[in-house]
Amino acid sequence: MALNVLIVDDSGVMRSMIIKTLKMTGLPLGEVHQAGNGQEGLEAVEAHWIDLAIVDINMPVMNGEEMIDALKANPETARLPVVVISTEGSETRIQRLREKGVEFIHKPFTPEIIRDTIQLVTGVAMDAPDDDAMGGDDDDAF
Amino acid sequence: MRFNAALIDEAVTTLEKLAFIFASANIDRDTFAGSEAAVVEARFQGPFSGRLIMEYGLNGLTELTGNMLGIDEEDVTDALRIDALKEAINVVCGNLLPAIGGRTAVFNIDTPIESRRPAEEAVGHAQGVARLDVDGSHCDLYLFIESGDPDDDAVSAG
Repeated sequence: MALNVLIVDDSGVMRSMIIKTLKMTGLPLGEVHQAGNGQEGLEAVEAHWIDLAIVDINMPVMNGEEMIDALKANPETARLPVVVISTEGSETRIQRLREKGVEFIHKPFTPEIIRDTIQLVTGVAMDAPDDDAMGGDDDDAF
Repeated sequence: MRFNAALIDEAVTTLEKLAFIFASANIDRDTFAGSEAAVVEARFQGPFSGRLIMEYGLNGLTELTGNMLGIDEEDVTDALRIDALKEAINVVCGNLLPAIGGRTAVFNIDTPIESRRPAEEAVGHAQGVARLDVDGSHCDLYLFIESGDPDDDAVSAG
Protein backbone atom coordinates (compact mmCIF):
# COMPACT_ATOMS: atom_id res chain seq x y z
CA MET A 1 0.00 0.00 0.00
CA ALA A 2 1.49 3.33 -1.06
CA LEU A 3 0.88 6.17 1.36
CA ASN A 4 -0.33 9.52 0.10
CA VAL A 5 1.33 12.02 2.42
CA LEU A 6 0.50 15.66 3.12
CA ILE A 7 3.30 17.80 4.55
CA VAL A 8 2.20 21.05 6.17
CA ASP A 9 5.02 23.43 7.11
CA ASP A 10 5.58 27.11 6.36
CA SER A 11 9.24 26.41 5.61
CA GLY A 12 9.88 25.13 2.10
CA VAL A 13 13.30 23.97 3.26
CA MET A 14 11.78 21.88 6.04
CA ARG A 15 9.20 20.37 3.66
CA SER A 16 12.06 19.38 1.34
CA MET A 17 14.01 17.91 4.24
CA ILE A 18 11.02 15.85 5.34
CA ILE A 19 10.43 14.55 1.79
CA LYS A 20 14.11 13.66 1.47
CA THR A 21 13.97 11.82 4.78
CA LEU A 22 10.76 9.97 3.88
CA LYS A 23 12.44 8.65 0.75
CA MET A 24 15.33 7.38 2.87
CA THR A 25 13.09 5.38 5.20
CA GLY A 26 11.82 2.83 2.73
CA LEU A 27 8.30 4.08 3.28
CA PRO A 28 6.05 3.08 0.36
CA LEU A 29 5.31 6.61 -0.81
CA GLY A 30 2.47 7.48 -3.14
CA GLU A 31 1.59 11.08 -3.85
CA VAL A 32 3.26 13.74 -1.72
CA HIS A 33 1.31 16.97 -1.28
CA GLN A 34 2.56 20.15 0.36
CA ALA A 35 0.91 23.05 2.14
CA GLY A 36 2.33 26.19 3.74
CA ASN A 37 -0.12 26.55 6.63
CA GLY A 38 -3.05 24.82 8.31
CA GLN A 39 -5.67 26.40 6.11
CA GLU A 40 -3.91 25.23 2.95
CA GLY A 41 -3.53 21.85 4.63
CA LEU A 42 -7.27 21.49 5.18
CA GLU A 43 -7.88 22.44 1.56
CA ALA A 44 -5.43 19.76 0.44
CA VAL A 45 -7.17 17.15 2.60
CA GLU A 46 -10.44 18.08 0.95
CA ALA A 47 -8.99 17.97 -2.56
CA HIS A 48 -6.88 14.79 -2.36
CA TRP A 49 -6.94 11.35 -0.80
CA ILE A 50 -4.49 11.64 2.09
CA ASP A 51 -3.31 8.68 4.22
CA LEU A 52 -0.99 10.58 6.54
CA ALA A 53 -0.60 14.24 7.50
CA ILE A 54 2.74 15.55 8.76
CA VAL A 55 2.13 18.91 10.39
CA ASP A 56 4.22 21.71 11.91
CA ILE A 57 2.82 23.76 14.80
CA ASN A 58 4.05 27.34 14.45
CA MET A 59 2.67 28.59 11.13
CA PRO A 60 0.98 31.79 9.93
CA VAL A 61 -2.70 32.03 8.96
CA MET A 62 -3.68 28.78 10.72
CA ASN A 63 -1.30 26.94 13.03
CA GLY A 64 -0.94 23.19 13.24
CA GLU A 65 -2.96 22.78 16.42
CA GLU A 66 -5.92 24.60 14.87
CA MET A 67 -5.65 22.42 11.78
CA ILE A 68 -5.63 19.26 13.90
CA ASP A 69 -8.69 20.47 15.81
CA ALA A 70 -10.50 21.04 12.52
CA LEU A 71 -9.55 17.57 11.26
CA LYS A 72 -10.74 15.92 14.47
CA ALA A 73 -14.01 17.85 14.40
CA ASN A 74 -14.89 16.54 10.94
CA PRO A 75 -16.15 12.91 10.95
CA GLU A 76 -14.67 12.38 7.49
CA THR A 77 -11.14 13.29 8.61
CA ALA A 78 -11.21 12.55 12.33
CA ARG A 79 -9.33 9.25 11.90
CA LEU A 80 -6.64 10.62 9.58
CA PRO A 81 -3.25 9.72 11.13
CA VAL A 82 -1.35 12.89 12.05
CA VAL A 83 2.30 13.28 13.01
CA VAL A 84 3.49 16.63 14.31
CA ILE A 85 7.10 17.54 13.50
CA SER A 86 8.03 20.69 15.34
CA THR A 87 10.63 22.51 17.39
CA GLU A 88 8.02 22.69 20.14
CA GLY A 89 9.74 22.04 23.45
CA SER A 90 6.96 22.63 25.95
CA GLU A 91 5.87 19.40 27.60
CA THR A 92 2.57 21.10 28.36
CA ARG A 93 1.80 21.69 24.70
CA ILE A 94 3.19 18.33 23.56
CA GLN A 95 0.95 16.51 26.06
CA ARG A 96 -2.02 18.53 24.83
CA LEU A 97 -1.24 17.45 21.26
CA ARG A 98 -0.94 13.79 22.25
CA GLU A 99 -4.32 14.00 23.95
CA LYS A 100 -5.73 14.96 20.54
CA GLY A 101 -4.50 11.60 19.24
CA VAL A 102 -1.42 12.69 17.29
CA GLU A 103 2.19 11.59 17.55
CA PHE A 104 5.00 14.09 18.08
CA ILE A 105 8.50 14.25 16.60
CA HIS A 106 10.96 16.88 17.75
CA LYS A 107 13.26 18.75 15.34
CA PRO A 108 15.99 17.90 14.56
CA PHE A 109 14.80 14.39 13.74
CA THR A 110 16.38 11.18 12.53
CA PRO A 111 15.16 8.99 9.64
CA GLU A 112 14.70 6.18 12.13
CA ILE A 113 12.35 8.22 14.30
CA ILE A 114 10.33 9.23 11.23
CA ARG A 115 10.12 5.60 10.09
CA ASP A 116 9.15 4.20 13.49
CA THR A 117 6.56 6.87 14.16
CA ILE A 118 4.88 6.48 10.79
CA GLN A 119 4.77 2.73 11.25
CA LEU A 120 3.15 3.30 14.63
CA VAL A 121 0.40 5.60 13.39
CA THR A 122 -0.33 3.95 10.02
CA GLY A 123 0.54 0.31 10.59
CA VAL A 124 2.09 0.30 7.13
CA ALA A 125 5.04 -2.05 6.64
CA MET A 126 8.15 -0.55 5.16
CA ASP A 127 9.90 -1.59 1.99
CA ALA A 128 13.44 -2.74 2.69
CA PRO A 129 15.20 0.46 3.75
CA ASP A 130 18.39 1.53 2.04
CA ASP A 131 20.92 1.04 4.84
CA ASP A 132 23.40 3.39 3.20
CA ALA A 133 20.77 6.05 2.81
CA MET A 134 19.62 5.60 6.39
CA GLY A 135 23.18 6.13 7.51
CA GLY A 136 23.04 3.23 9.93
CA ASP A 137 23.56 5.51 12.89
CA ASP A 138 20.81 6.60 15.23
CA ASP A 139 22.70 9.83 15.82
CA ASP A 140 22.22 10.96 12.22
CA ALA A 141 19.57 13.66 12.22
CA PHE A 142 17.96 16.40 10.20
CA MET B 1 25.76 36.89 29.46
CA ARG B 2 24.40 34.14 31.62
CA PHE B 3 23.01 31.97 28.84
CA ASN B 4 26.14 31.66 26.72
CA ALA B 5 26.64 27.98 27.56
CA ALA B 6 23.05 26.99 26.78
CA LEU B 7 23.08 28.96 23.54
CA ILE B 8 26.36 27.38 22.44
CA ASP B 9 25.13 23.89 23.30
CA GLU B 10 21.88 24.22 21.37
CA ALA B 11 23.52 25.86 18.36
CA VAL B 12 26.31 23.28 18.11
CA THR B 13 23.83 20.40 18.45
CA THR B 14 21.43 21.86 15.91
CA LEU B 15 24.09 22.54 13.28
CA GLU B 16 25.46 19.03 13.66
CA LYS B 17 22.12 17.22 13.58
CA LEU B 18 20.38 19.42 11.05
CA ALA B 19 23.21 19.97 8.58
CA PHE B 20 26.16 17.79 9.59
CA ILE B 21 28.12 20.97 10.32
CA PHE B 22 30.63 20.60 13.13
CA ALA B 23 30.96 23.83 15.07
CA SER B 24 33.27 24.82 17.88
CA ALA B 25 32.87 27.70 20.28
CA ASN B 26 35.40 30.50 20.04
CA ILE B 27 33.99 33.10 22.39
CA ASP B 28 37.22 35.10 22.52
CA ARG B 29 37.60 35.77 18.84
CA ASP B 30 36.67 39.05 17.26
CA THR B 31 33.41 39.43 15.42
CA PHE B 32 33.42 39.06 11.67
CA ALA B 33 32.16 42.63 11.34
CA GLY B 34 33.88 43.15 8.00
CA SER B 35 32.85 39.88 6.41
CA GLU B 36 29.81 39.14 4.33
CA ALA B 37 27.14 37.32 6.23
CA ALA B 38 23.44 36.54 6.24
CA VAL B 39 21.50 37.49 9.36
CA VAL B 40 18.08 36.28 10.52
CA GLU B 41 16.12 36.69 13.71
CA ALA B 42 13.31 34.87 15.49
CA ARG B 43 11.08 36.70 17.97
CA PHE B 44 9.43 34.74 20.76
CA GLN B 45 6.75 35.38 23.36
CA GLY B 46 6.01 33.48 26.54
CA PRO B 47 6.94 33.65 30.22
CA PHE B 48 9.76 35.82 28.94
CA SER B 49 9.94 37.42 25.52
CA GLY B 50 12.61 38.65 23.16
CA ARG B 51 14.51 37.66 20.07
CA LEU B 52 17.32 35.45 18.89
CA ILE B 53 19.62 36.69 16.12
CA MET B 54 21.78 34.37 14.02
CA GLU B 55 24.57 35.49 11.70
CA TYR B 56 26.20 33.03 9.31
CA GLY B 57 29.13 33.72 7.00
CA LEU B 58 28.15 33.63 3.36
CA ASN B 59 31.19 31.53 2.54
CA GLY B 60 29.80 28.74 4.71
CA LEU B 61 26.09 29.14 4.12
CA THR B 62 26.07 27.28 0.82
CA GLU B 63 27.45 24.17 2.51
CA LEU B 64 24.89 24.47 5.31
CA THR B 65 22.06 24.73 2.80
CA GLY B 66 23.30 21.93 0.58
CA ASN B 67 23.68 19.61 3.54
CA MET B 68 20.23 20.39 4.91
CA LEU B 69 18.53 19.78 1.58
CA GLY B 70 20.77 17.04 0.27
CA ILE B 71 21.45 18.92 -2.96
CA ASP B 72 24.63 19.87 -4.81
CA GLU B 73 26.10 23.22 -3.83
CA GLU B 74 25.76 24.52 -7.41
CA ASP B 75 22.01 24.09 -7.07
CA VAL B 76 21.83 26.27 -3.95
CA THR B 77 20.19 29.63 -4.60
CA ASP B 78 20.22 32.81 -2.54
CA ALA B 79 16.58 32.20 -1.55
CA LEU B 80 17.37 28.67 -0.39
CA ARG B 81 20.30 29.96 1.69
CA ILE B 82 18.07 32.36 3.57
CA ASP B 83 15.30 29.78 4.01
CA ALA B 84 17.80 27.27 5.37
CA LEU B 85 19.17 29.80 7.84
CA LYS B 86 15.63 30.69 8.95
CA GLU B 87 14.92 27.02 9.60
CA ALA B 88 18.19 26.64 11.49
CA ILE B 89 17.40 29.54 13.83
CA ASN B 90 13.88 28.21 14.28
CA VAL B 91 15.26 24.90 15.53
CA VAL B 92 17.89 26.56 17.75
CA CYS B 93 15.27 28.84 19.28
CA GLY B 94 12.78 26.04 19.78
CA ASN B 95 15.33 24.00 21.68
CA LEU B 96 16.90 26.90 23.59
CA LEU B 97 13.76 28.30 25.19
CA PRO B 98 12.76 25.19 27.17
CA ALA B 99 16.41 24.67 28.08
CA ILE B 100 16.52 28.03 29.88
CA GLY B 101 12.84 28.56 30.71
CA GLY B 102 11.76 25.11 31.84
CA ARG B 103 10.21 22.15 30.05
CA THR B 104 6.63 23.08 30.82
CA ALA B 105 6.81 26.75 29.81
CA VAL B 106 4.85 27.54 26.63
CA PHE B 107 6.41 29.86 24.05
CA ASN B 108 5.26 31.07 20.67
CA ILE B 109 7.99 31.59 18.10
CA ASP B 110 7.29 33.93 15.19
CA THR B 111 8.28 32.99 11.67
CA PRO B 112 11.96 33.97 11.37
CA ILE B 113 12.77 37.03 9.27
CA GLU B 114 15.88 38.55 7.70
CA SER B 115 17.62 40.94 10.05
CA ARG B 116 20.84 42.84 10.65
CA ARG B 117 23.90 42.17 12.75
CA PRO B 118 23.39 43.87 16.14
CA ALA B 119 25.54 46.89 16.88
CA GLU B 120 28.53 46.24 19.11
CA GLU B 121 27.09 48.35 21.91
CA ALA B 122 23.87 46.30 21.78
CA VAL B 123 25.79 43.02 22.03
CA GLY B 124 26.84 44.05 25.52
CA HIS B 125 23.18 43.87 26.55
CA ALA B 126 22.63 40.37 25.15
CA GLN B 127 21.80 37.68 27.69
CA GLY B 128 23.52 35.09 25.58
CA VAL B 129 26.23 35.16 22.92
CA ALA B 130 27.65 32.26 20.93
CA ARG B 131 30.57 32.70 18.58
CA LEU B 132 31.12 29.50 16.64
CA ASP B 133 33.73 28.52 14.07
CA VAL B 134 32.16 26.38 11.38
CA ASP B 135 34.28 24.78 8.67
CA GLY B 136 36.19 27.94 7.73
CA SER B 137 33.26 30.25 8.27
CA HIS B 138 31.47 31.64 11.29
CA CYS B 139 28.12 31.44 13.02
CA ASP B 140 27.32 33.98 15.73
CA LEU B 141 24.14 34.07 17.81
CA TYR B 142 22.77 36.72 20.16
CA LEU B 143 19.92 36.23 22.63
CA PHE B 144 18.07 39.36 23.73
CA ILE B 145 15.43 39.01 26.45
CA GLU B 146 13.24 42.10 26.42
CA SER B 147 10.62 41.29 29.06
CA GLY B 148 10.24 38.72 31.81
CA ASP B 149 13.04 36.84 33.52
CA PRO B 150 13.93 33.18 32.94
CA ASP B 151 15.16 32.99 36.54
CA ASP B 152 11.73 33.78 37.97
CA ASP B 153 10.50 30.82 39.98
CA ALA B 154 7.22 30.85 38.08
CA VAL B 155 9.06 30.57 34.79
CA SER B 156 11.45 27.87 35.90
CA ALA B 157 8.61 25.87 37.35
CA GLY B 158 6.62 26.34 34.18
